[in-house]
Amino acid sequence: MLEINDLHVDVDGKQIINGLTLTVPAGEVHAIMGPNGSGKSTLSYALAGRDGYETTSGTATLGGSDLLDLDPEERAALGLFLAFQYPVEIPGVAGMTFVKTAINAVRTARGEGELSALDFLKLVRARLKDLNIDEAMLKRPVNSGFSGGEKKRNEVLQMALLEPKFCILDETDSGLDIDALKVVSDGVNRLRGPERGMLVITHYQRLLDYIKPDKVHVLAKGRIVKTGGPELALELEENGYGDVLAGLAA
Amino acid sequence: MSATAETVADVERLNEKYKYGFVTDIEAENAPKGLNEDTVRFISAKKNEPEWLLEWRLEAYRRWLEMTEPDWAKLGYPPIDYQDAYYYSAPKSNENAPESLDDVDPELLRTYEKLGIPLREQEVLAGVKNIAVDVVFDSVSVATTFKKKLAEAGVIFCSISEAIQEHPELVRKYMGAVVPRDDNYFAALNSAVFTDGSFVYIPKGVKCPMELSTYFRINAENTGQFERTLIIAEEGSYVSYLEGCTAPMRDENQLHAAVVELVTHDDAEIKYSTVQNWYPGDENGVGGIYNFVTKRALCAGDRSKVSWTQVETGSAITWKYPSCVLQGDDSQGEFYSVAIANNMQQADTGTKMIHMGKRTRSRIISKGISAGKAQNSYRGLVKMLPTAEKARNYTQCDSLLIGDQCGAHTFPYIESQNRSARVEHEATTSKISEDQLFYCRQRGIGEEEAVALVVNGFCREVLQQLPMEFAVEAQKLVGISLEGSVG
Amino acid sequence: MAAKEPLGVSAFAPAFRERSGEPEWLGGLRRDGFARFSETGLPTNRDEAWKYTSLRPIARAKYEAAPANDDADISDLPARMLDGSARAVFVNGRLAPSLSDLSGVSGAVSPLNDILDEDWVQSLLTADVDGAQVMYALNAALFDDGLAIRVPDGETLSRPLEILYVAAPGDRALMWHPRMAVDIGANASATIIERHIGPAKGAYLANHGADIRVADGAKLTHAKAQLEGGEGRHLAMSRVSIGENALYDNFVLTLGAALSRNEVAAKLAGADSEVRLNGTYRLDSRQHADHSSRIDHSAPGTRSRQVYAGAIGDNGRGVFQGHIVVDQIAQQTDGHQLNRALLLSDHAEIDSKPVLEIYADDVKCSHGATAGDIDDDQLFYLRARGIPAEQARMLVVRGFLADAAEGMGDEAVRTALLAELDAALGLEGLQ
Repeated sequence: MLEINDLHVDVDGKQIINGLTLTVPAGEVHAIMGPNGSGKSTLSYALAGRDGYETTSGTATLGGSDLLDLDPEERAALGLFLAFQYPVEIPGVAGMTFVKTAINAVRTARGEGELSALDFLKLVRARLKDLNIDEAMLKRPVNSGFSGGEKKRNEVLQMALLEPKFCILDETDSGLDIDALKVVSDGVNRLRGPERGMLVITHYQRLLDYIKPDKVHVLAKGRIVKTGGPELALELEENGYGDVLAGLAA
Repeated sequence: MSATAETVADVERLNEKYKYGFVTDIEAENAPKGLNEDTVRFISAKKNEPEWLLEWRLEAYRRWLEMTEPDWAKLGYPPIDYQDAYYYSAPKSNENAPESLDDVDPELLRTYEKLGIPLREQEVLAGVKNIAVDVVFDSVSVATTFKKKLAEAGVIFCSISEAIQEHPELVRKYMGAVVPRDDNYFAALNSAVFTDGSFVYIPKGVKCPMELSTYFRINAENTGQFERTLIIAEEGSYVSYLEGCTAPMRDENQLHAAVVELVTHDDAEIKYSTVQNWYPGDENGVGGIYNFVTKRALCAGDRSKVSWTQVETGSAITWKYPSCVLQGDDSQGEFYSVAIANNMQQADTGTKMIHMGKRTRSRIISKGISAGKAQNSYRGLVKMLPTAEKARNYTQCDSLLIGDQCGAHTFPYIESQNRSARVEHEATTSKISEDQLFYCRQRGIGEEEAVALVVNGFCREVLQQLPMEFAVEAQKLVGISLEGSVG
Repeated sequence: MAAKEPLGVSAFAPAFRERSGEPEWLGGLRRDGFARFSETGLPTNRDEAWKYTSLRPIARAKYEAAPANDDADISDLPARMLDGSARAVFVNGRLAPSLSDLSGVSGAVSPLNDILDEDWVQSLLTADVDGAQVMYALNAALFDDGLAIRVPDGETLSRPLEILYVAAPGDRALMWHPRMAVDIGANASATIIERHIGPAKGAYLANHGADIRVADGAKLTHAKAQLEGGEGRHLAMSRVSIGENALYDNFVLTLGAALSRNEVAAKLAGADSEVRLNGTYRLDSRQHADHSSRIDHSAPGTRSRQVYAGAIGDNGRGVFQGHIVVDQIAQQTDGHQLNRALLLSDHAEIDSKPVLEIYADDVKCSHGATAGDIDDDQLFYLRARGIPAEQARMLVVRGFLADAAEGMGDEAVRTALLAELDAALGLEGLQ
């Protein structure tokens, strides 16, 4: 599924990702944990292809296709979905218009042809029902004036609608209270499946109580410094990042 | 490939961008080239006008000769040679004014079909509203639809030439009452040589049963279009009027200088919407329409209202300030504008809100988008006269820049002479948001489509003012106008 | 047909003369300045930059150049605005050394006429003069006196400098055209406060010109209290160039003069430089006050902030013209201007024209303008707390005006200016 090999990424001429290697097979959920400034968000932006995140060496492939030479929308069409830490507000663009444009763009890129208005509406209604989200959310402009919880639910809704092969969740728990966290996690868990991989990026272990990972990786100074099972997250929660990082220095 | 074939391919490619750029091959009758008193007399005679109107035109022409072309707008273009143009061009087939659509030259009907303008009075389809259309082809009105149905409601909707013959008392009373013939250089030129346009009269208490629209088409080469529109809304009446414009792609610049006058009496309302898509010239600034337009509304009656909505995407040069003189107490003026300038286009557009009456209100929402090497300016005046007790104005003026070669400028004039009047003006300028574009692209939306989506969002407050049928077209046009602005 | 003479040229011609003993460049500057004035004359409403302020009345006033006033009888000068500041005193446009106290700053502050041969003076006074207003060109042609302030690199002007301009016109209508040259060296700093005062009676025209350079990393606080006499006319144009990482912090308080115009043209020439232009005005009777500014963002990462607030009573008329230009190279510009006016009478008028002209795309620019009467909610709130209506009005006006002073970074200067405002509003001792 997602294979990252010896990835180096520069931002503003400064190297942030520094030889990162990681494989997430289909059907698995991996967590990346790390302290502030370890390069978590840089990794998600670099994989999604944001301008200014320059890959200087290394490779990243999704289902065998090279990601790094593609435009963001081409990566999306390949099935890569990034749930943003800070979902962007787009004033004046209704959510319904936005997801319709996105679904049809992705379908067209895959040669599947656009959905009819009726099929689109059916799809949207079904997903809204699955996730227990009110249709009113899609009538409002994308993320505009949304609360933190609404924004994250909107991300999960888009994820469900676009049916990606691989999801990156960038600090999805940030800015959520415990109730909202449960709702969002339930949504994500519904989307787990044998064909789909996920990479959950988080600072805190809390999220992993709800989205149980198969593996946990510790990111520090732009590379994976430790890998383990779910118990590693608990360990970090108890002892902080200090021990792991100290071990790294030694 | 032969040179000719290449040219054809080029034109076809360009046509994808400006799909209205074709030429209709139709035999036309022109006035002799150039402008002098004889030209004015020729036009007046062609239209069989009464003596007073000829005198009115000649006086406008004489005033025009004494005036100088305004240079205060932020526009740069080579001097216009007013002698190097035809001031009258009419399809020959139109010589004996067609009585009904069946008499209209089929070539013309095909042209409008190609432009997507419904000229057949179709059966009313479920859920689709009918729109009455007056079509102006170069210098003359070639057809007006649904006249009978409108007449039943007492509404007069016809070409201004016909109105001059059939309703001279109304024309004489109102023409020049809002925009005096020597108001400005281009208004004076129009007053001298206007050839056609639309006339609308809504009697007391009548809500016009359908949307009215005029479709302006410049076809002939080297021809200026000078139309004049006059809309009168009597007490308690209402009308929604739409205007659309296109022209073929040509390498030389063509002049369009229109005058639009609106009058609302007590409790009357006019909603006036424009989608201006004259040929903008190519990406190197060759060709395109010079669009110098004077549009003004007189809210003469108490509680009357005029709402201007414009989507300006075409023309090489746009010089246009649809305005409201708020004379009646509690009268209202609105101006909603989207102006997009791409490539080498230059737009200088805005509004004037002159508050005279008590508790008059105005609202200005202007969205300017600059891309390519274009220059886009908002220019506006809000004036509160001493009599404008408790008047209110709110202005929001936002500019969006796409690329670092273009300019966005804001020139507001705010003058208040009444303490109880309140004026609020806000303006912002910023670049199109990289965050928004990336977010869209991460969801699989291509770059150009992402720009169109974000810009449509930026313009939403204005676009939603348009009647439904126009709004969809306008949204598409926003995207098309910005093609090639990124990447 | 003889061409009509441009407005006011003959009224000013007698004042223009060749001066011996001046450097050649200055002679040229003066001739060019007067030639330009002769060509255009006094600006009127037809000139877009003067759309709301016509100088037509000045043409009729027949001002005479003020004579050297060695015998000027000036008693009881007001106390200094800032404790411990040095003070240069001008009477009718000429420096009066006997009234001045420049101890501690005499190395940095000198009569302009004494150092006309210094290169920095020449380069400041001659830089890009074509871009300046015609009244500034007239000032160049006619100035008799002025002050030169130069703070060397890395130094701080040891005391704030107050420049007190006293008008004592007497029976005849007089005019003067003082010039100021200010050069703040790299990483240097200074505080300058101008105060302009005049008698209630007596007509005069004060036409000031200033050339200011704030070098890289430098900071200049430049404030002005304009309390000219009731028949006085006050014009001032400052041209300011601001270097990399430098700050020009300007504030003007306008309370006096029948007609005034304060104009600042600031060029943000160095990257990451900043300009703050703030102003407050309170107008009565038939006062006309024009605050005009032009800010050129000519380098990346530059920042400008402007807030002007005015309260206009009686037949007063306020004018604000703000023009922000962002050059194509000036990416990451951050420019904001705000103009707010209170109309306190049925005959008061405000005209404002806040222009943005933008040629770079990565910018954040905005402007706002409001005009209207006092906020009834605020008034009611104060009255509900037991404050009588008239006093409540005064407090609301004061709060409205003081708001614009918030942008001034130097607290002592801000306090001193607000004290002048409170004195004018009859609210002394409020702070």
